[in-house]
Amino acid sequence: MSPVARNRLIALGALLVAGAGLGFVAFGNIGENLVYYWSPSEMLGQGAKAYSATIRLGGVVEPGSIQWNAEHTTLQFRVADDVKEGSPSVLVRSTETPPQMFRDKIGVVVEGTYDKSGVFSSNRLMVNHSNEYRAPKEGEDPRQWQETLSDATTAMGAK
Amino acid sequence: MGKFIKWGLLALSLAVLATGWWLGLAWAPPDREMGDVQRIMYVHVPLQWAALVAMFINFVAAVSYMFKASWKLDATAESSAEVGLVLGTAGMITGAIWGRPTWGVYWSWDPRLTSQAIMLVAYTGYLVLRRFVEDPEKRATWSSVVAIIGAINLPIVWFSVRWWRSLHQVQSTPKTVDPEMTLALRVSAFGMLFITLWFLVARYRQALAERQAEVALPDALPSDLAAAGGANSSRVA
Amino acid sequence: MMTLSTQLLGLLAAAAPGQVGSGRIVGGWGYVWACYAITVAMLVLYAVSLWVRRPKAPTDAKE
Repeated sequence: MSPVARNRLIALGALLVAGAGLGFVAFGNIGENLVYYWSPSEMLGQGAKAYSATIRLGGVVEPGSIQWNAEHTTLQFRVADDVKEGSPSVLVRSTETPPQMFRDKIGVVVEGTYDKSGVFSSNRLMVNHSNEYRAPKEGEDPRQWQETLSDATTAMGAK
Repeated sequence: MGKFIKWGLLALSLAVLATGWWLGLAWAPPDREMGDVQRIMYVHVPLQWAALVAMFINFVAAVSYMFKASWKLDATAESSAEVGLVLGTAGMITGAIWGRPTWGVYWSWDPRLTSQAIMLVAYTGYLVLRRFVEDPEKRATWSSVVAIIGAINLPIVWFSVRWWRSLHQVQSTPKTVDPEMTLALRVSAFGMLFITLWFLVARYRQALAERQAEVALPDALPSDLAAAGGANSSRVA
Repeated sequence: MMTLSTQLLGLLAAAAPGQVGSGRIVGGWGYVWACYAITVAMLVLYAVSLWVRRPKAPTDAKE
């Protein structure tokens, strides 16, 4: 076989291997075996298997569920499958200050352990951002907020 | 021609990139939620795009080399892998820095970050392999095979955010990004692409000169002679 | 001023900017400059490495 024919054959072989590998990664069920995080309903569906192992739980922060104690830096909130009311959710406790992006309805991934009492103790709280980037709305300039910060805080305190 | 590429392209790319970054840092509005931190987009995203473009050029050059051997293709493959690795590493570092204020962490083993790390390791391996093989022709052939198989990382990195659950968000489109930001991003991306092109040309010349020093007669690549019957030897290098 | 504060509070739903639960990043320019500085440094260093490794005999003539 001439070197040219040999090289072409090797190239075709390599392309085939690459294509097969890619197909396996794309259409095989690697995704099911290597899940980055479980949703609350999936975790709850695992039953006792979900207890005590370090796992990641991902979902959205249930609206109105955030309870933050700045003095003791304790944070408590519920992670739900989605923002719809009544979707399965899990109570999460954390002792770290969450990222500034943290708010109601935002996507979060927490790393920690789930126990029988139904509480997920998080030791790592991550916020995931959507693919949307928008300018602030009228009268919503972030830098203006910064300036009115003390003002808003006082108003908060007075409430 | 040489002078034009050397200085003209460099001046053009620096001007475009500076314009894009100025648009991004000073002209475009901050993001509603991320504030000014969002401006990292105009450096992180162009780096990653340019890295993927360079690595894709590496794949095309590797396949082409296997079908029609020439030192030019080998030099193209070598230069694009190195440039892609530099850009991809910068892309990963800026991504990690962006992750700290937004996600709360510099790093997490999510599918996008993990696949990008594997991709960078693969191209490092490719360049190391090239260093270790002394025979230019064997080096070109073997590294081409590695490049072709390693290229599966590119679609995996790109689609990782769609195929699997990840911390990294899916690709933005002009529909999900405000027009001013899109413009700043596009200009920055073109600037980065021109710089990439300039790097590629400079590195390509260096690689080609190295090949020519390695083989006394660059035209006499055995596979070339076999293909053309030695009749048309002026066409290579 | 009062109305402005109330409006802001309404917009922010629960918390003031910079407070936990606001969902907004305040400041953070340090991260931005770090990203741009590191990128510029890496690109410049790579350009220098290309210059150091430049071919001794120009290949332009052959093209």
